[in-house]
Parts: sequence; C-alpha cells; structure tokens
Amino acid sequence: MDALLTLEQAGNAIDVAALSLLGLALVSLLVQRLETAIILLGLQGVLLGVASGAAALEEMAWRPWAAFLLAVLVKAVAIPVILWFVLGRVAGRHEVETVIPLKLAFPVGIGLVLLAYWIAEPFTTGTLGAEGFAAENAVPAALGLLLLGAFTMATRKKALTQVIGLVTMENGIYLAAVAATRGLPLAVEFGIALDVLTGVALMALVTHEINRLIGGINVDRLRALRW
Amino acid sequence: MDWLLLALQIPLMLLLAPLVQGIIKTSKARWQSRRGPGVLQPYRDIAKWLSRESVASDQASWIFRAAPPVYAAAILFAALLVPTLERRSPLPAIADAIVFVGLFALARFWLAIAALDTASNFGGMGASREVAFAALVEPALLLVLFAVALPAGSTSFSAMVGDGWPGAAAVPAFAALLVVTIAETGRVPVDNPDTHLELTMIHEGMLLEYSGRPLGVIHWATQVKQLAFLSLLAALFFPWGMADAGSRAPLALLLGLLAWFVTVVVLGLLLGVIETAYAKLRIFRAPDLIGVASVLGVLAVMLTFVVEG
Amino acid sequence: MSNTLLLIAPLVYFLLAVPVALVAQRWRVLPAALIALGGVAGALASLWVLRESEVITLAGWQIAPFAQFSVRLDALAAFFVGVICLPAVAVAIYGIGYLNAAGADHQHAPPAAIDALLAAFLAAMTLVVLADNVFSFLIAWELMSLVSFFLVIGDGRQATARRAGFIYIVMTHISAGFLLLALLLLARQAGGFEFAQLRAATGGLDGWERNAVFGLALVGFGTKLGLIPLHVWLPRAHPAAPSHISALMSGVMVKTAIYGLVRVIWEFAGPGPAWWGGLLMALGAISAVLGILYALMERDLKRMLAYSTVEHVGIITIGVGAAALAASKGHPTVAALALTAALVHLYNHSVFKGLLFLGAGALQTGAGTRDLERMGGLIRRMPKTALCVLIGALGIAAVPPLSGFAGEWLLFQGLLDLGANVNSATIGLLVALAAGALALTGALAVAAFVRAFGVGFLAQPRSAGASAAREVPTSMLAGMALLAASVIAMGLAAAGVVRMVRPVTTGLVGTHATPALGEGNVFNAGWLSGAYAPWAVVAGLVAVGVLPWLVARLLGGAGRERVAPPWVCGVDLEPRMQYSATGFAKPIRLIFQAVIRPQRTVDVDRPISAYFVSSIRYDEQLHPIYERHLYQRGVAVLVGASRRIRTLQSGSIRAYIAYIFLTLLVVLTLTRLL
Repeated sequence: MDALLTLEQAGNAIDVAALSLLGLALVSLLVQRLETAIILLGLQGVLLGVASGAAALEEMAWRPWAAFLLAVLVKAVAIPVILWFVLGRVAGRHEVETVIPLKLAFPVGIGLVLLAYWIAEPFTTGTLGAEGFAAENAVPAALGLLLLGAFTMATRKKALTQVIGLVTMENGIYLAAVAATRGLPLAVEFGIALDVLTGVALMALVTHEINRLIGGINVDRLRALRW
Repeated sequence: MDWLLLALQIPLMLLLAPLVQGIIKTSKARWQSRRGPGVLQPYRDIAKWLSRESVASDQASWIFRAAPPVYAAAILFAALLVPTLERRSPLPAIADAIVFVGLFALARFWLAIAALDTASNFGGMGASREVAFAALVEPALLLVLFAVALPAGSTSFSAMVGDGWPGAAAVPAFAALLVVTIAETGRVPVDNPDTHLELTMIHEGMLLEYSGRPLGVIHWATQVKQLAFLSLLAALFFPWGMADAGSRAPLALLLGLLAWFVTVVVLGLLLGVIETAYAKLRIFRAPDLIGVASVLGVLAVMLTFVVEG
Repeated sequence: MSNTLLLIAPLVYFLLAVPVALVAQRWRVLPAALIALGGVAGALASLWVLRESEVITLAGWQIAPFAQFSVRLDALAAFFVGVICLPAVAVAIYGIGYLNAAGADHQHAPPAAIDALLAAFLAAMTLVVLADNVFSFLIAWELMSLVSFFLVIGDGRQATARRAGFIYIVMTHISAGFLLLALLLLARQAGGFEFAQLRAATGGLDGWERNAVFGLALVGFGTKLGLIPLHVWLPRAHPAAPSHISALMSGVMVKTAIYGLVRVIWEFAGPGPAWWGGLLMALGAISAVLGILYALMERDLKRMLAYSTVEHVGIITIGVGAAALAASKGHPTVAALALTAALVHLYNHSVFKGLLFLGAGALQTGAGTRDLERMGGLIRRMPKTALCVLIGALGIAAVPPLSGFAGEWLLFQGLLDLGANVNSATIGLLVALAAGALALTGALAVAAFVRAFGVGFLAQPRSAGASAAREVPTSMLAGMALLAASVIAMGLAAAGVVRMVRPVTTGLVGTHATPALGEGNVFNAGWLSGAYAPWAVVAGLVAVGVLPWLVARLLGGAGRERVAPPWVCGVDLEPRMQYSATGFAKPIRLIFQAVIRPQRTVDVDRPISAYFVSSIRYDEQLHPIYERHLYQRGVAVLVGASRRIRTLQSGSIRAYIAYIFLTLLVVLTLTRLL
C-alpha cells in the first residue's frame, strides 16, 4: 500500500502534536480537580496516538501500526480508565494538593520548558534528519514532558497525581522515540508500554492500599512508616 | 636402583639398630655410674616380645592391628633411602629426601590413630602430644634437608652426600638436625624413652596398649628410625670413608661399613651424653627447643645463599 | 561440529538436569543420571582437549550490541572442566541417597529444589571457566555465586544458615565488584570485551595499570578463594550447605578463583613484577598455616573441613606465587614446575576434599551429628564409610603414596628450584619461609586428620546417636567410593596428572617442566634427580612390610592374640575417659596460642569447701584478630556512614522523587554544557 503522507507532512503533523502535548502538560499544572487531570492525561494519549498515527501513515508497515494501536489502547484508554476507577474508590476530596502554590508552579513549568529547548538545541536542527522526521519541536517537547512530569511528581502530595506525572514522563520518552527514530524496534515499544501499564496498575493498587490503610492518599503520611 | 646396596642395607638397618640402641643405653648407664644391662639387651627384649602373646583392647578395630606393620614398613623403607656404605642412596630413582620426610609422617599417622583406637586415655594423650611436637619437628627437618639440597642441586640423597663437612652453612643445619634427631628418637630433653610416667610421656603413651609381637615390631622399628636419623647425620655431615658411588670393590665397601658404624656410634654416644647432661624439659617448654631448630633451619637455608652468592 | 559438541556437552547435560529435577520429582535418579552423564562428558572432553592440545571456540548469541555470549575451551579451561566434572559425578550419585535419607542436615529444603540448584551450580561453574569474554564471565560468576547462596540458606528458616548466607553474599559481591573493576580496566585498554582482545592488548598496559589490575583481581579472586583475611565467609557458608554441595563449594568452586587468578596473571596483565609472586606466596603461606590451625580448633567436622580448605587454597596460592615470581625473573621452566605443582595439588584437593565432605554428610546421616565430640566408635557401625574417610584423610594429610603427597612433593621441588635458580637472599628467605610453612602445614594436617578420624571413628561411641549409628545407603557409598578410588589412583598415577597439566603450562608459561617430570611413572623434578615414584614406593612398602612379619614368624611362631579391656588404672572404661577432640588439640593450642589467641573461662563450682568441686565449666573460644580489627571496624565505619546518609531518607516519596528530578536537571544541564 502506498504511503498516505509524505515524510514532510508526517513531520509537520508530529510537530503539531508535540507542541500540543507540551501545552497540555503545562495546562495540567494549573488543574485543581483530579478528574480533570485524568482527562487531560487521556488527551495526551490521544495526541501521542496522532503522532504515531502520522508516522504509521507515512511508513505503512505493520510495525508502526502496531505501535499506534498500542499507544492508543494503553495511553488513551487503559491508563485513564484505571486511574478513573481508582479515583472513584478513594476517600476524601478529589483535589490536587501541592507543596508549592499553583500560581508558582506554572512559571516554574514555563522555565522548565525553556530549559528543555535550550538543552535540546543541538538535536533540533538537522542532526536527526537522516533518521527521523523533520519535526523541530519534537525533541524539545519530549524533554519538556519529561521535566514537567518529574516536576509534577516531586511537588504533588497525592499518590494519584504522581502516577499522572510518571505517565507524562513516559509520554515524553515515547514522543522522542516516535519522532527521532521513526519508531523504535517494536519489542522495545511493546516493552515500554507494558512496563508503564504494569507500573500504573501497581501504583493504582498501592494507592488503593494506602487509601485503605491511612484513610487518604496523601503520601506525606507515609513518613510515619520510616524507622 | 642398586640391588647389591639394597641387599646390604636391609639387614644392616634391621640387625644393627638394636645394637646401636644397646650401645647408647649402656654408655648412658656408665655416664650415670650404673652397670647397665649390656649392649645385647635390646635383642633379647625384641626376641621376647616377638614370641609373646599379644593383648588387644576390646575396643580396638582393624586399625590397631594394621598399624604396627604399616609403621614398621614406612620406617624401614625410609631407612633404606639413607646412604650408608656408598655415597649414594640405594633407592635414588624411587624416592628422595622429601619422600623420606613423608614416610615418617605416614608412620606417625598410623601409630597415632592406632593409639586413639584403643579407647584408652593414655593413647589419646600420647597421640595428641606426638602430632603436636611433630608439627614443629617436621619443618626443622625439611629446612635442614633444603639447606643441604640447595647447594647440592638435588633432593636426592645421592647428590646431597658430599666429600666431607659441607661448609659454613652446615653449622646451623647440623645443630638443627641434632635437635630433630633428639626429638624424633624421643630422647631427653624432649621426651624420655625410659619412663612411662604420664606427665612426661609422648611416644611411649601411644604404645601403652600394645604388647607381645606388635610391641616388639614397633620397638624394633623405632630403633631402626633412630639408626636412620643417626645415619642421616653421618651421611650429610660426616661422610668420611664412604665408598664412591657405584664402587664394587669389597675393600671400599668394608671400609665404608666401618666408617659408617663408627660415626653412627659416636653420634649415638653424643646423644647419650646429652641425655645425661640435661634434665628433661617440662613438656610445654620442649616446643621452644624445637622452635630453635626451625629457626636454625631457616638460617641454614639463608646461609647457603650468602655463601653461594 | 563434534568439537563444538565436546565443548557444550557437559553444559547441555547440566542445564537439562535443572528442569528434569523440578519435573521428575519422584524419579530423582533422572537428574542425577543427567548430571553424572554431564560429568563424564566433561571429563572426557577435558582429557581430549588436553591430549590433542586443541582449542575449541564457540562465539554465539548476541544479547546486546556490547554483550555477546562466547565460550572457549583451551588447555587451562579444559583442565578446570576436569576439576569440576570428576567430583560432579560422585556428588550426583551420592545425592540420590543423601537427600532421601532421614536425619540429614538438609531437611530445610525439598530435594528436588536442591537437585535443580545443584545442576545449575555445576552449569554455572563450567560456564565460568569456559567464558570467553568479560560479559559471559561476569554473568557466569554471578550465577555461580547466587545459586550457591540459595544452596547455603536453604529455605531460610535456620538463623545460622541465614547469617552465613548473608555474610557470603556480601563478601561475594565485594569480590564481584573488584573483579568488575579489574576487567573493565582491562577492557578499556583493550577496546573490547572479548578475552582475545584482552590478551592482545597486554603489551599496551603500563606498569601502573598492570599493578592496579593485579591488585583488584587479587582482592576479587582472593575473596572467593578464601585467602586469609578475606576468608570469613568460607567457614560459615560451606558447612551450612547440604554436604554434597559443600563438597562442590569447597572442592571446586573456590578453584574457579585460582582459574581467574592464573588467567589474569599470565594472560591479561602479563607477567608482572616480582612482588606479585612474593605477595602471593606470603598470603598463601599465612592462609595455609592459619587455616589448618583454625581447623584443628574446630569440633564441627564440616567447619573443620572448611578451614582446611582455607589451608589448601593457601598451599595452591604458594605454588601460583612461586610460579609468578619465577616467570617474572625469567625462569620459565621453574615457573612451569611451580605452576604444575599448584594445579596438580588443586586437582587432588578437589577430590579428597570432596570425599571428606561427603564423608561428613554420611556421618550426619548415619550418626546424626557433625560434632566430633559426639561421634566415636563408628568404624564398627559404618565400616565402609570409615574406610572411605580414612583414605580421604590419608590423602589430605599428604602422606605417601596417596595423592596429597604428590602435589606437596612437587611444590617442595618447585620452591627448591626457585631458590636454586634465583640467586638472591630475599628470595632465599621467602623460599625458606614458604617451605617451612608448607612443612608445618603438612605436619599440622596430619594432626588435624588423625584427630578427625581418630576421635570421629575410633574407640567408644561418645553419644547415643553414635552408638545407634547405621551404615549409609549404597548410592552414598558409591559416590564416596568413586572419590576414594580417585584419591588412590591419582596418588599412584600422579605422573599422569602431571602429564595432563603439561599443555596448560605450555600454553601459559611457554614451556613445561623438564621432560623427565611425569615420564614413565617417575617424577623427576626439574633440575636433577630428586625423584618420587609412587608405584615403586608402594611396592617397596609392601615388600619391607612383609619382611618384619616373616622374621617375627620365624622367631616367634604363629602369633596369638587375646582381647581384653584396656588399662584405665583399675576403674571401668567409660567413653568420657577418652581423649576429646578439644583435648587432643590442646597441645597445639598451647604451642600456637600467640597466633590463634584462644580465650578461655573456667568456672569451678565449690559449694562446700575449697577441696570439693561439684562442677567445672570450661569454655574456650577463638576470636580471630582480623575479625575484630578488620571486619568489625569496617562494619562500624560502614554503619556510621549509613547512619549519616540516612538523613537523606526522609521517608517522603516526594523527597525521593525530588532527588531524581534534581539529578535529572543537573545531568541534562551538564550534557548541554559539556
């Protein structure tokens, strides 16, 4: 079957998806309600699906299509559904609790994005051209997602938000993989996807347990377990 | 291998060992102003033991019965390695000085387990002390042999026998081997061959349950061991009058026999003098003396380098 | 193709035995047969390679760009495959009956699991010596350590086994860490991970790098080897495992460290300066003497055997050190002789130490104890076991004509050869001290095994268990008999073992010890006519042993024997009157108390008057100096540091994530800046 997209078109599509992902991640920093955060995470999965779908349309081989399917199933469907399910069983208010004020978190997020662009500068132009798509924003955005995810994990109090941070980080890695190498070996992609799914499932379970044990999912209370 | 030499050395060791023992005992008696039983007494003792009934411990297993022949065989075989009449070992291609040391370890192993086999506490005591002291004697003996073997360039006794006193390095080696001989033959000041007093005994403790023929065999073998060590002293340090290697001249062999016997008897008398002149050491002071022998052995090996280099 | 089969045949059998052991739990003969087949296959492969002096390589299986699994069977590896496979056969046979027997010391883990782990253990050890690149070697090394760790802890219910396992795993990982560093250092220089590249790059190493590699390898392999003071795990871990596993750990596993040391010294880091050899000799001598002294102080038979392993490892190290010293001084024939001595002794030790551990397992099974003070009189109740153990004891005590003596004879010759060829007073002193230590060790080994055999098997039973002892099943006896026969055969045909080692020394040192050594059935040492012909010695012993008997018969007629109770000063004989194992070692403890520093407390209870003693409690313990000064201090420093680092451990997950986040930021920034 012939490719439905040229290399350039696919690159542009990935570029757009990458920028949107970055924007979504920044917006997530401002979100108050956990439900909204999960929905935004699902949207991230959809955007990743767009990116890997573009890659698949360009190459038209079974591997990228499998990767696309995986991305959509795991990131856009499975993970949000699991988190939603867990959220429904958690006691207490479904609000994001942070250690630094949300107003401060947003500028820090913007700083992190700038940092990401600075760090990724050598990789944005030309260096990956032969192998990857000409998506200028893909690698900086991927790095930005990584940093924002880590930042989210470090500054949020609830276990659930930390899962969200982790998935954000992973989305960054996935994006970089799609854009830079025109798809990793399928085995690796598959492995990553399964890894994250298992990780999320486990964390969901643990969150559930924490909730049952200490009547809430505020990880600060785990401090009591220290010996 | 030299069958003639071997054919001479086997009866030599077996038949003369009791005589040397008798001479030492008689001389000791004279030094101590006693008459003594006469030089032939060890023969009479052995003949008596060999014809007597033996009594075995009812706790003993086959080890107790197997030990005396193994002990005797190991010692007699070791005694056949030492050059006596000629400047070479009767069995050079089979065993060397290191095997000589090993054979005594074999003999000791069997006698010690046989002593434990009897379930008598004296046997255990003797075995315990014997193996502990042997642990100190063996390094000294081996270092002496090393000190002689290094300049000779071989561990074969044939090569280790020189023409005369082997040089400056031999002084500590001789002293060390003398102490080793005293310890290995169970003499004062390390052990006392004439007593069964449990406070002091080492070698005799292991034999306490033996009687009759096995006892005779063990005593005889122990006398062969004494003769072997005296012969070793003679061969390594006073090889005067020995026939040249491979010599078949009857006169030379006869002269060698005479020179060997005189040297061995003189060394035996020296042991008698030492036994008379010194008091027995307290049992746990004896290691100090044997330790000195080990140090002398190291010194002897070192000296060979200084002298050579 | 058939050559490649030779290479992998033992591995295939061993690996196959793992699932078979787990599946066929009711037919434990199956995995045992597979392991034994693997052992026979490996032994044959080893002999074939050593005979034909052929090198078989098999590069295979790329796991990752940098990690390839490749194996190679050269003379040195083949020799060690032989060392692994001969005891493996005996252990497999022995294991059938041993694990089924009641009262054994392995009840804490199911037999099938032990069978499977045994097979995996053998496969891992084989892989260690076959590995042909850094990656394969380290994987195999870790596998070997981990599998044996599981065998040591069993099901983890026994506190002593858990503690032994913990110390073992810590020490073994320290060892692995040093090895990793040494090999990475070499690989960096060589620009690759294949051993062939490492060999080729030897010339490019400067003195500092050579010494660093040697030092790291010495600590790394020395720990596995159990060189004092790195041996602390050994006397704890070896006895904790089931006895047939102990036999492999003590007899075989520690030898893989010698294998590594020899590879590093001669192939990877090149012949180094003279002090390498000197250091090895000194460490070996210390290990040998202290090892056997500690062995003499033990009343637990298996711990005693483990300490005796420390001793023999020391003896082997003396040989390796002497060879390294001779090589660096430019005397290849001397080096070949000393290395031959070390390897022959290594092979012999794997057999008689294996045999003795199997014997200890038989005692545990038959008499229900490992404590020498609770044995006694077993020669009548377990006569076959007793005979096997006696052969092992004679072998390990290094008395002619059994195998232990052949190795030590060669080593003495090697030392003398070194002294005679290298004319320097320093080396003379080293040679004299090493030879003295070797002789002292030999004599103390006689004491130790007279004590073990005499107290364990002879005289009256010292406990109810010993008086009710029963002979062990046939499969156990068969395993022991195989090794006992090997001890005798390798003693009598010692020249054959020497011939086996020839291609190994030729490959490493470039030459083998003089042609006369090992020709016919006589050992002629390197330089002259110092000789030892085991067959002839046996013949001579028999001849002269018969002689006095004949004389006695002629003089005194047929011997008569009466059986009577032994004389114990007129009272009834009691087992408690016998010399105990502790009492037996007392003179040696007194003589060497400055070295081993025993601490004793005697409590005498005199309730009525000073002249009437109602009870005496005697407690004597050994607290080795290095444990107090080296390990306790080290552990204290470590714990202190950990306590300080623990402030980082806030208990808050967010804090941990923040650490990761900050690290990420720093690393990313650095990559951009640099």
